[in-house]
Amino acid sequence: MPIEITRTDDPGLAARLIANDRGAYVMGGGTGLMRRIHEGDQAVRHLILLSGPRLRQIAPERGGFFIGAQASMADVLAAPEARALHQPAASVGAPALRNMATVGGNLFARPPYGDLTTALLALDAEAVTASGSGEDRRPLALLLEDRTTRRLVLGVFVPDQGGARLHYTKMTRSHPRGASIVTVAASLARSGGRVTMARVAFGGLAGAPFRASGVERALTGGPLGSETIATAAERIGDGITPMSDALASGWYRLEMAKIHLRRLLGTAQGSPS
Amino acid sequence: MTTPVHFTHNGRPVSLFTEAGESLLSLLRLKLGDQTPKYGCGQGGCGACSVRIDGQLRLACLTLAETVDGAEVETVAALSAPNLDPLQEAFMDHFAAQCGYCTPGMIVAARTLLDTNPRPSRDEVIEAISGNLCRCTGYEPIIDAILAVAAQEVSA
Ligand SMILES: Cc1cc2nc3c(=O)[nH]c(=O)nc-3n(C[C@H](O)[C@H](O)[C@H](O)COP(=O)(O)OP(=O)(O)OC[C@H]3O[C@@H](n4cnc5c(N)ncnc54)[C@H](O)[C@@H]3O)c2cc1C
Repeated sequence: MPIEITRTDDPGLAARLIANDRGAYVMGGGTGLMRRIHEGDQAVRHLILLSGPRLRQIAPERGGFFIGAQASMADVLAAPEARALHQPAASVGAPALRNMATVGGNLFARPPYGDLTTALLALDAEAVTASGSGEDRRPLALLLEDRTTRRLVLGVFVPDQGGARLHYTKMTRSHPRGASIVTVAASLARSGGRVTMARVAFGGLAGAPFRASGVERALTGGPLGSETIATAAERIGDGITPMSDALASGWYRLEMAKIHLRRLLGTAQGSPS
Repeated sequence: MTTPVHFTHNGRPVSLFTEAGESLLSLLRLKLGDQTPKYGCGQGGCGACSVRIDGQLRLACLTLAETVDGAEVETVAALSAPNLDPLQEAFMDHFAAQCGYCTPGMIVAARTLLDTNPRPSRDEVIEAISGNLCRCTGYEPIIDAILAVAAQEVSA
């Protein structure tokens, strides 16, 4: 069946098209969508090429900074405001892919992809979505959990992190770059030797990237000691089904998630905040 | 549904019709007859179709043809006219090509690196070609060839 293409600079129109037709997809860099088309995926029937200056913008906004949905990983890497996201953006694909892959597309990438999204969850980012002719904001985690409503994402808002620091690691089979076996992003705030806030997200592990609330609870309140870290790592599997694919079994992914969380927090132990 | 697209192909303005959903790679190879970008995996995983769009390294197989309207598209063919690019010479000297299928993508990726970073470290070369698979050489001759050209161009 031929694919229909709509070019528009009206976010309202794009939002209505994707809300009302499950075969309609907004195009980011196309690294996921074009792949599906090549594979003969008949579900992709209508591509919407949306343009507009806000969609590629990366700029400070009150209380944080905004990244447009169509900013590429390369755009993120070139933006000093988005420094917190440089390590995660650099871990996506290879140079040509980073020139194409967008932030908006990463939110809906097929597992095990979604590395930048994993970091955005740990940074407590909000999804800025189109609503009528205006904008709406909701926690990114809620957007990712709600699989029934298809929303047009205009961008993400990353709040100022205060004293919290992001720790990030990604395990791959091929080097220097490859698809995730597991991606771990942990944002920790500490005061007086205690962890006062922990946001921990995993990608590549179980479908879409998610926040691990059991891990966060186990880490919060006390010092970041080896015992606390070990207890927290045992909570990663709570309420999830680790995914199996050609790269790794679910069992292996979960074991690797525990090891890499322990290592990541082990290095955080020694760092100043 | 066909749509007209106008763009520059290796410095030459071209206008043609694209089918909806068609990739830039298919446009280049089948409609323009430029067979230098290769069809490898069609999934962005091998880098054999690497081209430059407005100077940026891209994967032609994952680029929707309509999106290059108004852009400058460059394939490896642009680098070898009238003389071979020093990278092409170096690939021969260092036995960096065996079957040759990955070579056009490798050269475009390497040229893009050297244009922006004339003195790359070995790790930067590895990163620059990390999206390009080679199943013959084991990569070492390719890395050596790129580093040799960098040394030569910087001293020249
Ligand atoms: C070879 C290869 C390697 C890769 N490596 C990685 C990797 O290391 N890490 C990683 O995270 N990913 C990786 N990916 C997956 C993918 O490239 C990235 O996740 C990328 O960020 C997807 O963005 P895109 O703009 O190309 O998405 P597209 O293909 O354009 O879109 C993907 C999905 O998101 C939807 N979408 C896009 N924009 C919006 C919007 N504004 N509002 C609502 N929906 C939207 C689309 O409709 C579609 O469903 C890889 C892909 C390939 C082909």
